[in-house]
Amino acid sequence: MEKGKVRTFFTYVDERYALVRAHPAVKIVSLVVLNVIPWIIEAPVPLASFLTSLLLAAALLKAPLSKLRNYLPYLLLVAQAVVLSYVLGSRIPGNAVYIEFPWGCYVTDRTLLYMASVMLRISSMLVGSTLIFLSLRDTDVVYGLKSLGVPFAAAFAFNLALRFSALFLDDYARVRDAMLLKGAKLDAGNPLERAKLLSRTAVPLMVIAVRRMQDLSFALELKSFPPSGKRTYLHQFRWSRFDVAALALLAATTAGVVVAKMVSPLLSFPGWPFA
Amino acid sequence: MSAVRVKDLWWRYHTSREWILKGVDFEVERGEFVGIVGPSGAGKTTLCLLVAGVLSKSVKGECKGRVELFGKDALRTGVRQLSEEVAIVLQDADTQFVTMRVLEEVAFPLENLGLSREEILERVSEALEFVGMKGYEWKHPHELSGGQKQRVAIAAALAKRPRLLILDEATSDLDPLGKREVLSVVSRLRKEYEVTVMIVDHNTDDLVKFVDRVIVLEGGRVAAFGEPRAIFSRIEQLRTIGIRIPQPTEVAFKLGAANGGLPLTVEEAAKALAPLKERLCLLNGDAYESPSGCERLVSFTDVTYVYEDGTVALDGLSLNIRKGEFLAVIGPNGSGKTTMAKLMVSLIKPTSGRVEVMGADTRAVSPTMLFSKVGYVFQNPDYQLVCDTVYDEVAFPLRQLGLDEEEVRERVQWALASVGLTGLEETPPFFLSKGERQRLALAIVLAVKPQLLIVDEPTTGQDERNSRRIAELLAQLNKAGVTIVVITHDLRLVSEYAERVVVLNNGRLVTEGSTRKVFTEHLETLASIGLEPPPVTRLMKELVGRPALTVREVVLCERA
Amino acid sequence: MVDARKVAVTAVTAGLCLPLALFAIILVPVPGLPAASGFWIPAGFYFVMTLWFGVWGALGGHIATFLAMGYFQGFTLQVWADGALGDLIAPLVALIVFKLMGAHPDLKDRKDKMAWLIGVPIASLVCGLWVHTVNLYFGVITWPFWWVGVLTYFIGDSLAVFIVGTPLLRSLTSYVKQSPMYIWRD
Repeated sequence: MEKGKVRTFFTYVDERYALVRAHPAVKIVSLVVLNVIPWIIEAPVPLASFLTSLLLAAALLKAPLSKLRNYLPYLLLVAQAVVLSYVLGSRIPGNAVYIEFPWGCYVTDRTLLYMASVMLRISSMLVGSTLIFLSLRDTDVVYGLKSLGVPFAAAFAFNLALRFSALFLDDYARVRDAMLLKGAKLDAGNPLERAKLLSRTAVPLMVIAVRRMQDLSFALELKSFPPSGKRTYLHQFRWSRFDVAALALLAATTAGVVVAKMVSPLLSFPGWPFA
Repeated sequence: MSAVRVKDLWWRYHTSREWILKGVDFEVERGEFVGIVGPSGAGKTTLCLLVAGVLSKSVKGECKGRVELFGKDALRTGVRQLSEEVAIVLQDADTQFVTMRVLEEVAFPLENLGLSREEILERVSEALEFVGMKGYEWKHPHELSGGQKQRVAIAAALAKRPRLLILDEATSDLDPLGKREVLSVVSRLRKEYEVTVMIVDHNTDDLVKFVDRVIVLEGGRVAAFGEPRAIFSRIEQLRTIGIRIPQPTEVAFKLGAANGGLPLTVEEAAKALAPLKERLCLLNGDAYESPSGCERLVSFTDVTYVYEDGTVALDGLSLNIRKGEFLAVIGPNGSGKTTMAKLMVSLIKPTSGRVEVMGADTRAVSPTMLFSKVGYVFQNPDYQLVCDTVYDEVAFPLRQLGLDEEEVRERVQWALASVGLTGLEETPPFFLSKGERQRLALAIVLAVKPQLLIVDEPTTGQDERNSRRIAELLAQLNKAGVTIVVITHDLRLVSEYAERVVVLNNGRLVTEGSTRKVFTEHLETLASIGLEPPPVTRLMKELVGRPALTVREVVLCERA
Repeated sequence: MVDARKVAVTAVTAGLCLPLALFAIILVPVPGLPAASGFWIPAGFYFVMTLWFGVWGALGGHIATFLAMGYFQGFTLQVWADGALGDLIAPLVALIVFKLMGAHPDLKDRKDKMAWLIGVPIASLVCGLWVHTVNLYFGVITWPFWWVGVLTYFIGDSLAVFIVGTPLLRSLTSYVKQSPMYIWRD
């Protein structure tokens, strides 16, 4: 591992990224809030402001913004889907009609604004979630959920799932190799035949899974899991001023957005969502 | 008060009419180190899980009798309470590693028990130091070898400071060095912490050096229980049951040197056989002639293979395998043995260099093009079993070859007969025992009638009877002209069956040659990578200055 | 109460389905529908796990879908609400159908087969309706494309569950019955 890097869920990030050191509960709450806010806001200008603030805040906190590039293909795909949907399949009244289709759908200036809103909303959720996930270590999920009241056993299952997915990835590769070595043409030929052959790989994978389930449950019980009395937690997370300030800011922003949505049309888009 | 008292224990699963355990009775004293041996299906794992108090509460079944653990009724006391007294290390190192880091893994049970943080840290540090894993605290499981994972599992068990430690075939998947390390750690545990230890293992050569007493299980009953010397003197009985006899014991028995009981170790055997030294002769065994004139089936020319993460699995390997050879590939875990095998079947392509199989460059062929000529049997047969019945499993590759059903039927019957599975055609494969599944995996490959057969760890986790059966079958196939390549840690198997040995370490070819040559002239090289020739080889080297490969070779000659 | 067995079911199901979900997204993408798959392979597995082991199997599928879809499109509220929640609902619907019909997952008799043939399409349809209504609500698609999405989902999910799940239930239920986690009584 490079010096100055911290390992998080899917990657390594600079240890100067402030969120890495944040309390796990702050990370989980941020994840929720940064998705809820763009979900509440409908109008494009407020969404654009939110997204810009998010990116600015991320830069200030020394977030690894370059990692967002990985999601560019997805955003392009979403944009394609959104454009297709709204150009060919919407009837949003506006001030100017640009295209009209024989099947009754049309494109207006408000259609374009609507599309922009959707893209800004998806982008905001994506940017917000990614910036949090980049800071999330595996211990954060368990400790974060636990500190928010989720039972330890349930939170732990999430971590275990990640642990076992690596094992099954290996198993799948071996089962596939075994099929190839028995002459199964998995990469060429009739798609239906290939699908039938591939579906056969399900059997050994499932047998291995069921056996692992049994062994895992024994292993967990023998490690005194789930804990019946008070459980100690090895890692300790202390609330810092940054954590308190972050929570306060998130709470205030959420409250502000909710109130603004209720009392003014600033955040709304008339006709949303079923336009 | 004993550590473990088992009284007339019976157990069967609710889905079965057969009792798995039938009136098992024994007592283990505090601080004892007890070995449990027996053929597959004898009930060893079931016994361990019942003693630990887990099975009767987790699995639907019928239980009669009594199990006491330090005076507590293990069948009725909660698992949580018992888990403070007993720890188990299971065979599968991966499944029992439930966290993401070594430190967290060792701390996990202590956290669940609610110990203070300070105490947890202290115990974790102590435990990791004890097993030689200090400095690995922040490693992830995928960064550890199998042996290291098992040592972490032992550390996690040790950190609980259990009064009873059970190891259920915990060393099966380890290389010889890993096995010895684990056994020596466990032995220290017992000496320094007075932990009672119960260990299930097929490897009796190493086991006898450590255990105080041995339980022999057969068909769910205790066939014998006593000190190793007394138990392993019952050679015929143990052979009938299908238990591996330590080689020094076998040699001494054969030569009639049983004064004061049969020896168990090389050192004891050397002393016991010293009076017979002058009369010891070694049959030379079949002289191995390097089949240099035979057709070259496989050639590796300066082959290097580097995995995506940068690990160099093979580094400049050059090697030829000739038609009709019985070749063993040995080496510590991570030495490149499986990579070498995968290159031979074209599952992977060399990063540099050239691999040719029957004249074809493997870079130009796919595994499906080679499968009718080269068979590969995986270490874990479960990866290969995809069909609903045994018949369909064996028929699968034949149908891929496009053979007509009449020929398919003939070949399936032949293959099943070869491996002793006739009569099980309609059985779903996953209902077979582990040994049967391993033989089925072999049958699947045999049916295709390959010219080259690669078998990866065929005897790991198998009892002696199954191991012999598989080894004999491979020998028969070799006699019939099939070239055999076996990857194995079982050096007794290598001595008895392989004509030629290739030794790998860190991706490089360390040495190769006839089995006799490698096991006699390269002892230091083997020792440097943690490999020891079989006990009989070392014993004869010590006694007569010349090594033997098998017990068969050692005879008493008439005095001149 | 959450015990070791339930956690083991959820964790192993999720662990098994996660790599399969990643493959399904890469191998069989649906043009125009981001991070969607035209053949949702893991569905075959978590449907079967749910029928054998109950809610905890469904939870495993839910976690796997969230992590797989999130890997490609971010761990957003939309991803959780549409795909992940949908994949929690679908196998539970199938389980309810089996329970209501008094059928058994080993698909031995006519009632079992009927429950499977009816339960899977109903579950896939319910899931498709859920997923694309959520997408509609988030504004990602419009009404005319809503039904396209529902139909694609219905076909993709049902196909995968029938092709992957049927041989699993037929071949392995008798083996899985021995497991203490199996929820049905004979």
